[in-house]
Amino acid sequence: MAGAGYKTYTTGDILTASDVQTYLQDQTVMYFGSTATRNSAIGTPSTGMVSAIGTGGQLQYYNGTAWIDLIYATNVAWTPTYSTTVTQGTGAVSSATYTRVGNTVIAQVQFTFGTAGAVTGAIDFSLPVAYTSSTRFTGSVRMGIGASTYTGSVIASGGSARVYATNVAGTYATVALTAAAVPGTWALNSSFIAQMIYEV
Amino acid sequence: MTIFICNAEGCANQGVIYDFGDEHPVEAMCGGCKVMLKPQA
Repeated sequence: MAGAGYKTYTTGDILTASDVQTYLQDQTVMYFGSTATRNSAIGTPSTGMVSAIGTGGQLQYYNGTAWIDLIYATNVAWTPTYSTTVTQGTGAVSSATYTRVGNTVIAQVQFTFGTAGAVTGAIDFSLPVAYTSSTRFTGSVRMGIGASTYTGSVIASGGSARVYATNVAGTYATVALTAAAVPGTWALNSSFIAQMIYEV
Repeated sequence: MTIFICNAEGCANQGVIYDFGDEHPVEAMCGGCKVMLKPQA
């Protein structure tokens, strides 16, 4: 049973089956090819058990009710779902990665429109891990449209995030929803890079 | 280039081509149904 602590052995001690089970096997990091294989092998995990899963050996620990990701071994690539107001266009490039440290997610999305790519409204994309806090977070976004580079914000709500352009028309800078020509006319080779840090 | 396509029935990303450009991940999590995808050959 994991949680037994640490045992110091001395010369002449008998290594019992219980010792091997308790101090060696149950408190050692186990590797499995998938979570399904792990869950099949360990029907009733003990709180505090640690296992490494799949390519890259993602570490997970058992908190008493579920297996929870620890620090990711490598950034995880993911494919965001874009809103229907984003026409990616043929040959579009979408590269997104994230990592997670405890309840903090650090993510980035790089997107370049392809042929016939266009925007017809707000640019929304799904987050790799749903944002559950009641306080919305703001990330930063760089938008490259034609020869111009614009800055903006990313604001999350639930499972998705929305890109806003910075509007400097007034005394104070405000945020503005993206549109077909906001902050510029989105077309082939237009791009945006969003960086986000948020709590889940 | 490395391309990922999720073909899961009903997934929001079903059939959408994701070209990672200069990035070459060996797998990617589908942003729609959360399954791990392998690159297209």
